[in-house]
Amino acid sequence: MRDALKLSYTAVLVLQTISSGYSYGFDIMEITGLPSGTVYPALRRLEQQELIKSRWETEHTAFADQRPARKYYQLTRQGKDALAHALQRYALLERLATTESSRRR
Amino acid sequence: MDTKVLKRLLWWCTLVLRVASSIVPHRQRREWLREWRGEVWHWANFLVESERLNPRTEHELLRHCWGSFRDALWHRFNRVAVLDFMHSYPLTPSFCLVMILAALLALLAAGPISLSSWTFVPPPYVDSSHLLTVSPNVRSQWLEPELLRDCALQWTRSNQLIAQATTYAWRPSLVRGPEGKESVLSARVTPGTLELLGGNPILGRTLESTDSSHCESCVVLSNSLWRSQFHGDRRVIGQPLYLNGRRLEIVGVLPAQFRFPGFDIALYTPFGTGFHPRLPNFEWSGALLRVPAGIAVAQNQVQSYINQAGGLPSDIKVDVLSLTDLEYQALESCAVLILLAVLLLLFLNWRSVAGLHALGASPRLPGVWRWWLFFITKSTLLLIAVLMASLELVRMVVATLGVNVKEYAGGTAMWLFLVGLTVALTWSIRDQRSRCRTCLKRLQMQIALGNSVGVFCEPSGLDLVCDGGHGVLHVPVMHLSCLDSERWTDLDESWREIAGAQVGASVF
Repeated sequence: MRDALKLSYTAVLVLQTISSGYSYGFDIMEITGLPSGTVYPALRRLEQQELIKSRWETEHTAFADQRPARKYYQLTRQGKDALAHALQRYALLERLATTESSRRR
Repeated sequence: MDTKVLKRLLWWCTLVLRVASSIVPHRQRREWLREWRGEVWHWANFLVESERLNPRTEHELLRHCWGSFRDALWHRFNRVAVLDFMHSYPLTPSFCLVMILAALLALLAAGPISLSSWTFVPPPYVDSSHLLTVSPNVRSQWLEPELLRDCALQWTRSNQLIAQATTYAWRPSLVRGPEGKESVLSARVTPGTLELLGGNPILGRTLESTDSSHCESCVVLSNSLWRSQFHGDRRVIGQPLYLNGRRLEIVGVLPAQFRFPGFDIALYTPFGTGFHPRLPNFEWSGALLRVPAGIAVAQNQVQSYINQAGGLPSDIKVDVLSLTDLEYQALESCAVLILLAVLLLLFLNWRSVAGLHALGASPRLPGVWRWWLFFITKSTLLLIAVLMASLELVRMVVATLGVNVKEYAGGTAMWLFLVGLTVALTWSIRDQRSRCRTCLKRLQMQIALGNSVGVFCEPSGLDLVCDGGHGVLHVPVMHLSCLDSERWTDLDESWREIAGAQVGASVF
């Protein structure tokens, strides 16, 4: 939990966006409004801290749709805990979280 | 229309991504590029499908592609990697060697003229493959310069192998110029000597054949004397200079690259025409010969010709050497001096060296080779660095304080070198002893054992553990003790994983 407290606002924003179901880089960029030069390094760092994990879409699925495979990100258990703690600190993000959850419902 | 625009857009994006991917470490590059290209493809196709593809969104997409550079840089220099690197690299043997090499390069850069020209630049002789030097053998009697001059003239007439012969006589002298007195070597040379060695003057002229009779007070300066006495003043021609109390007139200055074979001659005067009987060992003579057939063919023949039919007294024997041999002779004597100094220091440090041998690498053969190779390379580089540093330091001091301290320069440089070498070798041995016997990394993980009170009852001291889990070095509290001694213990494979995990933990 000590790690969660160290998360920057950007990192929490990215975590929150992934938690809301936006699971690949450009999608996260569009939602957060952050540039690619910020989002991708943030994704790498979060993955290194094991707060998110990535998986490649199967080649079979991508090939069937005649498009390149994408890499999807999702929160780990640690990531969920870290996000929960971080949201207590960043009150505005909690509101965003509530809005996004209700919108997706 | 959209397909064409899409293709063009994807081409540009791919180009940007490919350039950025060159920054990403090789092992991650493929996956990195795959992810970015996939994202760009989907984004671009989404724009087309949603009919949002316009110049503004195109630019937006391209701008996002530029962001890939930042991502690539993160991959190359991310914090964890940098921390890991900063933690582990200074412990490695390569870091140690790189640091010493960097110091060497810095020294080379600091003294480009004095050191690099002396050490690395080949002698600037016009045609060294056709030049031979003649000098009396060390066991031979003193040879009068005038006698050698007359004999040398005879050789050119009677031996077809010798196309040209010039003579010189050098001696220690005292020069007095605008900057005061200076102890130097001066040489009398016959006409053509400097030209034969490729000494084209940068100012004025060299010595001509008429100077011996008409201008005995003419003098040509070496570049170093010109700089030390006249600070490189280009109006030096015609100015006076006193050599052993005799007033001379400067007629030329030689280039910085010019080097007289075997000696650091500071000024050159005409040989003179007459016969001036002098005391033995007042000055020493030599000759330069140009042999068109080449030194490989002519050297032995010329030597036997001069010693048997050269017209020299029977108790005088000469050595005929090529210029390269002469250069190597000077280097050889320097190398012998250094070797003796190293052996002396190793003898004085025999306990440490013996300890190094006893505690040497783990018995695996590649380990032993690496252990000693690293030690020898490190010590040799240090030796060169110390030698260069002491020479350069003395040169800087002489340059700052002026010519008055020049005569102490050689001795000071030697003492500095010996002191520096002692420090360097001691450090090298201590550094070697505190390294892992397998991977040669410096041992950093320390475990304190026991305490100094219980030194007689239990092993006390420090255990230094290798980061890679290769082994443990025990350093006792009392170094000179029969109860406990410094020892290395190899650890088995199972320790490697644990040690690796600890390293990782310390980085995060």
